[in-house]
Amino acid sequence: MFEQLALGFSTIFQPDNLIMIFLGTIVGYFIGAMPGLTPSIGIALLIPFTFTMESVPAMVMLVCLYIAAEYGGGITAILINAPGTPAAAATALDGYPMAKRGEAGKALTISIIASGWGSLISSILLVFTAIPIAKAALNFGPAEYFALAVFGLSLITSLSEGSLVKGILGMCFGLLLITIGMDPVNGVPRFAFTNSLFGGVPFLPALIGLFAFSEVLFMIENADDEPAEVQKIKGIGIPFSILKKMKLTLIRGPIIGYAVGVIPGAGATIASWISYNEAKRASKEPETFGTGNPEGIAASESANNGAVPGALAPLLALGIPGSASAAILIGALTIQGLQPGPLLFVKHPEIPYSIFAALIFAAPMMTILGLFGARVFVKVTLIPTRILAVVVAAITVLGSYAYSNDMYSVWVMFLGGVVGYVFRKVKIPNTPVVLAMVLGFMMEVNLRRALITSGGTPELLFSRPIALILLIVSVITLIVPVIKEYKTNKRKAVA
Amino acid sequence: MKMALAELISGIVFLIIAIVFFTMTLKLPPPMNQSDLGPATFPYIIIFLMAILACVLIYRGVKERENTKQPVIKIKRQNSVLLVILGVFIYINLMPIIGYYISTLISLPVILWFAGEKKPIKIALLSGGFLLFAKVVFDMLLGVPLP
Repeated sequence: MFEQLALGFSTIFQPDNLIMIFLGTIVGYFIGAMPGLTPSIGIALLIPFTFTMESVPAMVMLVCLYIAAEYGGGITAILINAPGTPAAAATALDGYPMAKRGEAGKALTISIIASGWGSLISSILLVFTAIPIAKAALNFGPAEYFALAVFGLSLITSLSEGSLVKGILGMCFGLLLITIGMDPVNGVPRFAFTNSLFGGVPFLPALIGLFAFSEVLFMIENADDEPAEVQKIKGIGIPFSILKKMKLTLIRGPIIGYAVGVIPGAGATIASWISYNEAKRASKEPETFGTGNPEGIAASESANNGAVPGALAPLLALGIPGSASAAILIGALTIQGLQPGPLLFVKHPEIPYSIFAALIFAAPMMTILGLFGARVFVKVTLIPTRILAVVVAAITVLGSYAYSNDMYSVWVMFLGGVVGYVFRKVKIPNTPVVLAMVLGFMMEVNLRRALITSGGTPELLFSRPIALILLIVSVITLIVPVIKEYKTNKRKAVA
Repeated sequence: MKMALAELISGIVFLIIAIVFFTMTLKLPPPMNQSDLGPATFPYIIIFLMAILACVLIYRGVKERENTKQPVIKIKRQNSVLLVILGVFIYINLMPIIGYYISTLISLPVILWFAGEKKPIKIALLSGGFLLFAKVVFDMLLGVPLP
């Protein structure tokens, strides 16, 4: 393991990889600082730039973008009370009051140091957990993979943002999309009424549309909003005495972040709120939280950045995306001809180990860049929304064309964008659609393989302990929210 | 539009999708051997689930129709949103006919105008800047052959 990690470090210290880490970080900061652009949209927009790149620089750039975008979200949360990412909402609770009383520099410093610390600790945890998981997963057969896919999809219940029915409908829509094209086992064409559809619905253009182009239309809706006023940042410097006081929060935050990040479907936003609440609960002055307590910032930021390496664990070790950003990263890996999952550690160890090394190396680098660049990154909020929207739209067209050098992908992106916009308007979340597109193929292929292996009976699915456990957990994961929603609706009806 | 009506319409749309896919699935060949599910089973499961949930959505939409407290779906700057969609639609249609650079040169300023940017100098600079970016990054650095 350490040998491979050393190799990973030697790989990322090659000049082209260092440039990509730097570029990914800078772009990530800007994306994170811009309210409306989330890390998943940022990754989707940057993927087209990686089509012709080598695998290692492409992946380290995207991973650094992912983590830096989570950093960047805190900058605008503190300075203008507009969290750049949903996960930075808890940061705004104490960050903005501090900025209002003239302590913006101090708040930013704490936020950036806590972010860097959170991602460093969490990256180390990733190294020590992802490798054993991947090793164990090497023994997985079709039954386990089918159960894993079912488990991944069952988590849609936690991504349904309010309505379970709508979340599962989004999942069905995504699953139906992946059935278009050649049947993966027999090669029979399904629902392919034009020649282009024989190859299926291309995943990346579809998700660029669902996430980025649909967001363009939301930006156009809000194009009249005036850019927020940015305060002058004074007093950036490392407040050692304050950091010392919050050492327990700084230990707890990354651990909560990593643990929550590993659970598919949970992610950075939930991690930051749990960490914030835990810090408040453990504090001797809980009443000061929400009024400008630096510990609130540290709790939120150390956890939301800790969640990023956490989310990479199931992605790299099992090939299961737990969040929209992770699903998009799977798309990026596939474009490079790589299959995420345990075999990645055997066939292409340079990829996961370079990602580990990049995460560990990038944490202090991002902290330094964040401390010196916060004044610049926040300027991105001054760009009028209408201009940003059109630039993003133009990149989505260009990027989806670059995917396969034909107009079919551009049309898929455009339709995906319009559908994604309509879905979001009627509160059907886009994430289940994307997750279903990633896991649907894995689910169908492995179900059919498992059945063929056991002569057409489902015996294999229930005779393998890991598969059985995963299936039981999936059923519980699906049923509990259904019962909860039913009870809530009943209570509402009575009231 | 009220949320109940939106749910009713989306339920109907999902039901139509399920019916269309169901009719197409009927035409798929049977499994090649007894132990395989064949190409139709997986789509059938999804279609079945989708149809049930679409009916739930329709039922909810009908039931909540008279509820005065339901949320309302609003589209701010509706005309701009529709014009931008139309602009991008025309842009994509023009690309294979007149090429990427000329179609972008025509469409980008129009879309910027639709989006609400009214300053001609800004529009010209942005359009020119984006074309330069596309040429340098995608064409020259990444080697993507643009149409």
